[in-house]
Amino acid sequence: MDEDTARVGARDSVTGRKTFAGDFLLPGTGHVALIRSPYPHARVKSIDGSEAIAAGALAVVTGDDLALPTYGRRVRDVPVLARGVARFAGERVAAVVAESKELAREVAALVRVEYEPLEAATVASDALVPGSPLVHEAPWAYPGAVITAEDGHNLQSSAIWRNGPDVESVLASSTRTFQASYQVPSRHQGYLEAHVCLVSAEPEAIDVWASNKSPSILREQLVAWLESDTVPIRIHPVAVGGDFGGKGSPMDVPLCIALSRRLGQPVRIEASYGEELTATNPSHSATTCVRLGVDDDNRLTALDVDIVLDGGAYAGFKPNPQVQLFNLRLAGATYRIPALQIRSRIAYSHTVPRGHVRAPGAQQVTFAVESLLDEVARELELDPFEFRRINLLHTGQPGNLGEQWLEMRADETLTAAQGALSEVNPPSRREAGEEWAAGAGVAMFCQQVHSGAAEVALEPTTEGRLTIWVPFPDQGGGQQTVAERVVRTELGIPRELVTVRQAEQSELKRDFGVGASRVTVDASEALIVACRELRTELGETHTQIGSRDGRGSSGATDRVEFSAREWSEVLSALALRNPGHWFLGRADHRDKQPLISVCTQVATVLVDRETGEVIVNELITAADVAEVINEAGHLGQIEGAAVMGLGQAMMEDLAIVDGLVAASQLGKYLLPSVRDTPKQVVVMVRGGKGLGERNVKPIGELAGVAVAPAIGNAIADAVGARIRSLPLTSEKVYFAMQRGVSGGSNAPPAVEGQVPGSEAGGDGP
Amino acid sequence: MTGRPGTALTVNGEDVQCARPEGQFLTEFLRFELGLTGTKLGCAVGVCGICTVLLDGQPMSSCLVPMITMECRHVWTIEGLAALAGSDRSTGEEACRGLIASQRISAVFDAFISCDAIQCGICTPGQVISAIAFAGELTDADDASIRYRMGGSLCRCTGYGSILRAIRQISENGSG
Repeated sequence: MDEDTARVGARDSVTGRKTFAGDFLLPGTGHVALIRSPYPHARVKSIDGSEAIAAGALAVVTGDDLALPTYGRRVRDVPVLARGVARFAGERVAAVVAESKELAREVAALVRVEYEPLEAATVASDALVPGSPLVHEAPWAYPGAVITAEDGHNLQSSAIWRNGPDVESVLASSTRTFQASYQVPSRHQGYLEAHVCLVSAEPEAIDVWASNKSPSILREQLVAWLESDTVPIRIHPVAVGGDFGGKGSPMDVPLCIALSRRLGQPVRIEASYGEELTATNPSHSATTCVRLGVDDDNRLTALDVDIVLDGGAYAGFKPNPQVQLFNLRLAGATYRIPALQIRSRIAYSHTVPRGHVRAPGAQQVTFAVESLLDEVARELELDPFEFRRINLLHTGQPGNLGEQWLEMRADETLTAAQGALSEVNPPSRREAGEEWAAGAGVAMFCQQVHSGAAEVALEPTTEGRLTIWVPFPDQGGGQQTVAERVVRTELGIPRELVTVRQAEQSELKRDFGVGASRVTVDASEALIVACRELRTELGETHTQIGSRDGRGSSGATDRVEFSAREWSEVLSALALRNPGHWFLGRADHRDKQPLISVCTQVATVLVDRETGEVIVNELITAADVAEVINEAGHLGQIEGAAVMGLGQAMMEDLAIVDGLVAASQLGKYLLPSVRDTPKQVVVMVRGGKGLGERNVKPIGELAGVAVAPAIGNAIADAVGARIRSLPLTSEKVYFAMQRGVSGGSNAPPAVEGQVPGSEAGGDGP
Repeated sequence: MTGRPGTALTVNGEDVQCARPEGQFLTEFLRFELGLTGTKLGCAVGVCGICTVLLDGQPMSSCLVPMITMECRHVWTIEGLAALAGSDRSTGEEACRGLIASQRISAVFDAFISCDAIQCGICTPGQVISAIAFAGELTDADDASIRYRMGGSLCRCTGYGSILRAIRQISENGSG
């Protein structure tokens, strides 16, 4: 079997040797069970831990016992433990430490907490209305806050992006205008490794093992929270069991540090999956009102997007300096739209705090804009592909917000997806059965490359091997595999001599961690620089060794070919000459021309005319990939994102009812299984302009976003039912059909196109 | 269970004792008392499948198995199966229904690696054990039955494409 193309660490994964944060224990570790508020908003009147102590708890600790500052990724508004007031159902109110996890859970039930339930603001749109219960008395006073006392009620942040002529006047003078409002519920990232951390806080150092994707930034967050950088914080390298945006916050690490210091022993917190769902950082639920104008030639004249997002009880899980979701500004970016306005408000509410989920903000606006575009196309009696095509933005044209995109491959991906659809053979009505209606739908998404900077290192060892030091964990995205491929290609070194290792965060310069699909772009360039450094040094060593068999006597080091044995010798010689030396490589893409990548997705569905059941048959993804370093890994990112998009489209709904997350465990929150997945067709649209010498583009977040609108559009194509809220359940389709929509693939839209202020249609009870 | 100091079982072919079975589940016994951390803890309600082990030869979510039910039972974890893969032994104890040949285990490992049916890796041991458990029935298995058999193991990363390709490779090679 060919291990040469295998993923880094693959054999460790299949044999269970790959180690995650939860796999570590230290002698004398105390296990923590958390007491969490059952109320969305309550005054915590008293906490009595005496029974728990009598039953064997090592400690029962409250927020007042600790009296510590709040923490956060940007806004530091998250209490380590609630002090006096609980702001969401699931908030940490007290911590119980015991010798075992079982005992901690058992005695936690004996802690008596007296609450005084208070009126709560549990829906974002209500929370923003003056007079609704305040989530925070003075949210502007938190470090990192971007609002002032004069800004709106219960506001985390607001933003307006606009360009071109005034949207209102352009809409007023457009031939036709269309408007609708769309809902996307909160969703959990759905990684299968719940948050876990183990901390040993000693006076001389703090050791941390945590499921966190950005160790360098975690350390910065902890230093900011501790308000001190005198004690070294060692974030130990561990594999991360899935991230999808959810593992970039300190989460329970500050509490673990506080408890470890207080008790003088290591402390471990392992969230249950129920705690994951109800009390970590799921996505922002959103209501998006979209207005579009069209001229006589069916060209888009104006787009107005007004989105209200629920940020939950704390803003501290968003890393963006504006405390916004950075993909919101890309609403409609695939198209040329002369007048654009995007308004976003993120509200505080008495619900679980919200964070990032794969391509944060993108799905909320893309579902809205791509659904409305489809409704408009049907209203104008245009083919949805053609309507999109005549409005696409092309390379050379400025972006809607004035961006000078390096290129825009919208047409290429749309054409590729349409081509793939023509090769799909939908089941005939006879095959499917008379009750089934077939339909197809298309949607597009584009994402800006959020590249940053990276530092990596190469270390020859005295054993004649090469260690590639990278500052980021591999949370499944394949970053360490990409690093290995780049070095092997650059140096021509055999795989068996190369090891990829994650440097403990303090050893390399600041790294942004795994996120925003950026690692391949940044790290590949840094690795090429490091390889050059190594080659320069190889010159002399190589002359000594290479001359023995008469090669390389010119001293040229550009493309020297070594055998495995020779590589081993030169590496060993390098290591002996300069023990422990790291060949560093850095890359910084922050000042580069902005790059965007495009993805077009097409879904084909069968809809049962009687019951509303929806079967997704095929999912076609045409992705703008430039050049690919690791073929299998790239395909896996696309297929994985597409199925995550399928789950978010069809079943995932972290419904919050009266302030409480309704899904208390996995299985109540549904994730797609292998039985739910359709046939996938992936078209990689290669070439074009990527970043760096390897001409790469990001992929991790590209293929999950357009799936939901593509399926929604396919359902409308099949039976005319337009569903304007996710997930696209059979019940919603059934009730939309009941509202007088005749089935059939050529049925008119279920809602009128031109309905100012229309309610979201198609939603059953 | 009265009069007994604990629960006696075998794990990876060796006799082990669980001193305090009450209130404990198999996943945590394996992870914390035996240090066999290849068995992962996920949802703890039998949905995700990342804690799958072979229990008397059948794939089972270990998070659902109370230790008080484990007397005289036989468990194989990913560590034990990995050790078998490199040997010519099998899990063929009398009490263990279904003999699992070391070649079958190796074939599953190799297929998952060569098809890149791995991303973050947290679900991989459970997926691999599910595949090993029914690899014997795989010859000419159709897509629907593969999906049915593997449906108890969730994966959030891969979208299942590469996992299905791995299973088909095992099926086509007749490695079962």
